[in-house]
Amino acid sequence: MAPATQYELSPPPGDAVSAIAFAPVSGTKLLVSSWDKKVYHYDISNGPEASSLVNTYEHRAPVLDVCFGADDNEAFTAGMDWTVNRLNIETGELTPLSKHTAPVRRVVYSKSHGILVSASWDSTLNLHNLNDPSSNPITIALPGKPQALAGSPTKIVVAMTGRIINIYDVNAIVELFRTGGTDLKPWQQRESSLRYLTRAVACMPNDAGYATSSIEGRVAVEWFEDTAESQARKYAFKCHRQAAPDGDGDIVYPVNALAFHPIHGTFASAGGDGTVALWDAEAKRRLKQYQKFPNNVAALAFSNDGRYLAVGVCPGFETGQNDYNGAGQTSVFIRELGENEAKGKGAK
Amino acid sequence: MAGSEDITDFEVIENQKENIQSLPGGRSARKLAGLFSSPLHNLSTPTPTDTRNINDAIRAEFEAEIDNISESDDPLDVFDRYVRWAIDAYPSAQATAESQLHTILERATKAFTSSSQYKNDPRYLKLWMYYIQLFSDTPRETFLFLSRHGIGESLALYYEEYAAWLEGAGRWAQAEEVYKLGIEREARPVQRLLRKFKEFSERLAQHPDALAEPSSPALPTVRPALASKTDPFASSSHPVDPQAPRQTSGIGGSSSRPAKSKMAIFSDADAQQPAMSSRDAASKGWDSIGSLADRKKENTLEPKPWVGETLKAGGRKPAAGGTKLAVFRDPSLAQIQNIVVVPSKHQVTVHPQTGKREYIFVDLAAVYPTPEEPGTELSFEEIIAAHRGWLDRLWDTDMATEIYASDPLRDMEHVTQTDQLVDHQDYDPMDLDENGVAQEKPRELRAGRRKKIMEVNETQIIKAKLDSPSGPKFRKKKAAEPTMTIHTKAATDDIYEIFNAPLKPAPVDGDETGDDYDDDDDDEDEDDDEDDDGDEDEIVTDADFASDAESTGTTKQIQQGEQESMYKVLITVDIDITSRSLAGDAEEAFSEDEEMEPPRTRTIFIPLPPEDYEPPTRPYRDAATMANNRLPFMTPITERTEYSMDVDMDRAYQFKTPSKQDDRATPIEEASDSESGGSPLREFFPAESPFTKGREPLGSKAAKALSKTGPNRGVPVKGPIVKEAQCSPIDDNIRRTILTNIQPPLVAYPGFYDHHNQRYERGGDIRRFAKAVSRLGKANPDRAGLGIAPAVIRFADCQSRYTVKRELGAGAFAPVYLVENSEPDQDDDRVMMNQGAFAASHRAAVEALKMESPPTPWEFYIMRTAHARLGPQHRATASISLAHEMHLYQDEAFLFLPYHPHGTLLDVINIFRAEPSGVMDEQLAMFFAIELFRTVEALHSKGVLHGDLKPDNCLLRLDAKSAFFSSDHGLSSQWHADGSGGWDSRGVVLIDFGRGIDMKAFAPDVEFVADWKTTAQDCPEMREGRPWTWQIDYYGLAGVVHCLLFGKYLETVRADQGGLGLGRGGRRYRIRESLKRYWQTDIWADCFEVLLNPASFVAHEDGGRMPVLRSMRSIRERMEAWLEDNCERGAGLKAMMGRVEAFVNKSRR
Repeated sequence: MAPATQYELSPPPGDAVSAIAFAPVSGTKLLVSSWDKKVYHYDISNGPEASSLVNTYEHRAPVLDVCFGADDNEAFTAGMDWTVNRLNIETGELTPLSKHTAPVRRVVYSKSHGILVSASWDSTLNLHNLNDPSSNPITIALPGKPQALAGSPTKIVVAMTGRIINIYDVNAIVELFRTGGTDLKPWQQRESSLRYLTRAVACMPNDAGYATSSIEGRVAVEWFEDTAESQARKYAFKCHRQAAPDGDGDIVYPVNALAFHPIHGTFASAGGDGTVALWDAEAKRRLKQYQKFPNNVAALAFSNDGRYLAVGVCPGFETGQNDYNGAGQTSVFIRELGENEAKGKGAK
Repeated sequence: MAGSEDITDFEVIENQKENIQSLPGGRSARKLAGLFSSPLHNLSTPTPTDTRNINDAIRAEFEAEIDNISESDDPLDVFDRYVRWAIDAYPSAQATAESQLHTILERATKAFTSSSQYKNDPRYLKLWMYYIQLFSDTPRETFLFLSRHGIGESLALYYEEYAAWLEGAGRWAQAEEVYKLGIEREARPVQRLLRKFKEFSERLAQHPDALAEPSSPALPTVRPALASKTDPFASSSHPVDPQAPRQTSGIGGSSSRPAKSKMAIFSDADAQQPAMSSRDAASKGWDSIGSLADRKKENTLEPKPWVGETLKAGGRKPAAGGTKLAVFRDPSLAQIQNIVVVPSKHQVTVHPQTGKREYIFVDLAAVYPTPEEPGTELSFEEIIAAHRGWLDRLWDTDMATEIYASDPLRDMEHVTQTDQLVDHQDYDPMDLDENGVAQEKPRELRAGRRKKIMEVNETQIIKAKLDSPSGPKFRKKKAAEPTMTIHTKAATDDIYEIFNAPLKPAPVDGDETGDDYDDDDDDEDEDDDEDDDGDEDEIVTDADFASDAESTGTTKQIQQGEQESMYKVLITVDIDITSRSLAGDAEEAFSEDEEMEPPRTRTIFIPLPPEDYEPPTRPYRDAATMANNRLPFMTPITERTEYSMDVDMDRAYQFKTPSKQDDRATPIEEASDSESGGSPLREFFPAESPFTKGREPLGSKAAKALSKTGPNRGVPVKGPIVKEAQCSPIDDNIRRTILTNIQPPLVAYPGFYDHHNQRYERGGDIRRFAKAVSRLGKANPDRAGLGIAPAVIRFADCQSRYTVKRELGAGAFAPVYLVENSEPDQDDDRVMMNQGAFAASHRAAVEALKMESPPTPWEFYIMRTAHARLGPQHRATASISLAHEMHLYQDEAFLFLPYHPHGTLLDVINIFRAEPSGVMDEQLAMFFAIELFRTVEALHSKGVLHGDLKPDNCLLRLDAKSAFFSSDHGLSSQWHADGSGGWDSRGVVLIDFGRGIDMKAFAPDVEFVADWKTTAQDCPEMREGRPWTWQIDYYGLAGVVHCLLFGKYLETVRADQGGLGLGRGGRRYRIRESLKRYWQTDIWADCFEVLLNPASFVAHEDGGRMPVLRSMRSIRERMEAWLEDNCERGAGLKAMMGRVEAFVNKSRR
């Protein structure tokens, strides 16, 4: 029986959840982007009883990603309408920042350098120098279609189709802005450790490495450091599998989202089987597997202070059904974490 | 013993013959007799110990002799005697390890293999022959070994034995060869060998084809390695013999071992020479045939030091606590960059080591549309975006983007705008398969697509997984290739004729896949048809009956008089083409008719559909069927319901208030008592099966007459219809009597269409159609139903047409089909379904059809009776399935029921059985238990027994509304016993009243006896042959509650002292399982106590007899009180309900 510290936000988004983001300062403010073209702004400081929806921000197309900017009132959204928008959370004002030539899949903001990176299905990255609002975004071509994007203090990790992973150095981007160049070489180009399409990527908060997940129930953990010793540490493991109902083998679900805990450095994975599991990347252990959610878990986010885990639940898209509709079946759960719930147990 | 010196006591031998091994040369009877008669006690059988002692002494003597064998002139003699003694002393020879004969033989034979002295000694050869006969597992090899060592080379015995063995093995040619070789070598005795050869030749002559078979040389002496050596072992440095790979594989073998061999090949790395062989270690090969132990040495583990060894223990269980992450190393990484994922190949993979199957949940074919091209894989978001049309949309490139308000009109503009775009665009391969997008956004894509297919008219059926009749698992097909069928003019004319409505100028357009839906209104007229179709399908899956705002059909309007006058039966199974489009047109036609036929007010409830069910012949439970019942644990069970005669129902209830209905119901008890044959109706109900071929109709005319002229009407007959004090409630005659005598008669019931004097005759077509659909569905789940035109059922006397979609449940006698109703009720009051209290007989676009053959109106009667007596206002009414319509024919009965797509309680139980805990949480179990209690209490209070309560007859009732508007007025997390907070929209619906019993038709103190074979699932009274009444439902209810709690079927044990308590309440039962400590054990214990021992509680009831309504009520109230207090504990009841709903929704997808 789940502890009472898990509850559902109401009202839920009107269609599938694409991303969840917690504010960088307040631990109780979060944005949820949804396929119903809206970004939902919830405040959970009043606990499970109070209705927590503060505002919604309508876009003209489904919103594929959302991230916070420099403060709690600034956010960026990645839209199906090819546009990267800046969202003023207080006023609800949407300002287009740049335009791709295909839907924008992900946005990530590097707070330390004031850089916003957007990845689009047109196989480009747009680099926005927010410190200089007058500058035009720089477009970087990618070798594949980006499907996942994550940032650490010094690195940006882009996972693409064709199992390519590019790692960019944020400092190189800063340099690029300074010199006004337009050509950015990846700091590293790697091949995914996973056989199948990368579904999600997340960077360790300590800037040491990142985790990727694939559509085929696996998570890989890798380190940035390009030494043989460090690379030898990388590993992958299977997860989000369930015994087939007929008892013969396993059903392998996609791993839709990854999120590192900002304090403890453990990470959570969300699977198409409707479960969320907490892992200790260092000790290579599973810390916890939460009770099944009623549906596919599509998005995950830890709050800045690590006290909350937001879980976006909606029907999975994975079977390619053509009449997908998340309406009525989408919900966002907030789980209040215990003191040491996400703390690693230490290597064994 | 002295006396038996000369005369052998054959009786002794006879007694022991099974212990005597036969020898080719025979045995000495005297020795045997001596052996088996104790030398000491002269008993017929010596004690084994005595024998052993003696033998051990003798053996010791022989061993001593062998120790000194090097001193012996004739060492072979020692072995010879030793062996012969052993054979005599242990007549069962090799059968007993005790004899150690094989060791002796091995020692003996080994000792002299290289001895030239004995090479041609017949005694030595004989030892070998014993060895071969008794122990050798490869006689041929041993013979070859002898040949190579030259043993018995000049002895005829060798050739004779070898040839005999070959002959026995059917190798005639080789045997002949051996003989010839022996003769050539002039083996002694030549004469005997010649004679044996002659005999052999004669035998051979009788097998003319024996020589024809291919054969290898018996003695491969032709080989150079052998030919060059007369005595190969004279030289100690014999090279590795290629002839003997088995024995030489040892040295250095490990290096050349094939790398991929699955079975580890035993390698005798340090092959020590067996102790007996003093041979040089280097000379491998035929130098030794190897002892038996030697030859099997790969089966034994060699002892080796424990240092550095790991002890395997404990299987592969992950350690408790955290699971260690298995480090996955992808071996394919080396080939980098391009891993081709072939969807068909990788969707299901088998783990190379464990052999475990892995099913990838993701549809790889969608993700990897072109696997051979790297980097072309698509993420789920892209797929969905493509399906919804977003990918094809071009966004203006200027940056001045305005923010769109959520203005539907604006959205429409988008739609139209993109329509044009879309038309010119190439879809990526994936999109081509589908026809549209869900809900709001994706209209454009669909519209564009639609234009392309405008000319064709397709029909298709949604495929269904038919494995669970109760759990409608609706999987949407994707990528349907529509069947192209021709929209003929004839078909169109048909429509005109039937519906007498103008066809729209636009061609009827087809429905491509039928799996898209909208609940928003469409902007284009043209789309309406399709949307309707779509809705019809979709509704099934979404349970959103009420949201089908576009269906325009009216309620079925059948007036009494109309019904009577209409005897033309016009039901056709339309194996044609156009039914889909027909449906569309029909709806339009009817929408025009609306005003002419004002919707009838109905005050009846609309609950559930019976899903699986079969009508039955006589026995209440047929033995054969019962044997199949409940065998697979927790799988849906088919059962049979008894059938009986038709006739009537209560026509009045629709006008009556509930309170009056009760009054109304009373006359039923008082109907005619003329069951003894005095009734004029009697003739219509002959004793034999009423619907057998050629029979005259059953009383419909009479019944009609009854209802018209009403000879019985208004003549209340006092007392119950059946007055017998003891009877079988499912007896044909009893049922017939009841149906004949009820007031008002069955024909007076609205929705009852009596054509029992006519034959329908198309039932087979419908069944065949459904079978075909299901077969197709199995073979090709994605394409089910394509290519088969749907079966359409029409009845002459009502306007609705029903299109059979698929089979929901198959029984031998009563398949249940999912049908589309062409005339669903207008959906003006959406709330209706939601609040059971106001729900009338609302006809949905999708309903369930139960086809009973042989036909019987009994279930219809019981369901209607239950509803009538409860009245529409009663809360329990929503929990009882409602019979919409009954069409009774001589050969078929069509019972239309509401379709509840959410599956049964059994499905719910099974959801939780898949969980680690194996059972559902107590709160959820309590919730269902309360629902069931309330329903059963209500039924019982009105004198109706369900008669077949079990989890698979309880459908989930999840009224559609709240699922869709959960954000607005969903369930409250606090559960309320009175159903507020949306909880009255959650519950169960009882189906399958085919075994129902109307207690009011019987005398108050009636007792039923079960004259059928009972099973463990019947109540103890039945099993023990005692009379019963209400117990059947109490026990059934206990069984359901037990399943909810434990996920297992109810098992009971006697709880009394085992006395002969034959009186009522004398026997007490309890459940075998023990309640979990943390459950509300007092409530559950009392619950089972009441249900299993109802007789103990009658004292509190009115009149001191069952039903034990008060006890049930008090239990239910305690449950309700607890649940109200505890519904938010843990995950909370609402969350659990949400899970159940999500599951059933998912499983339908």
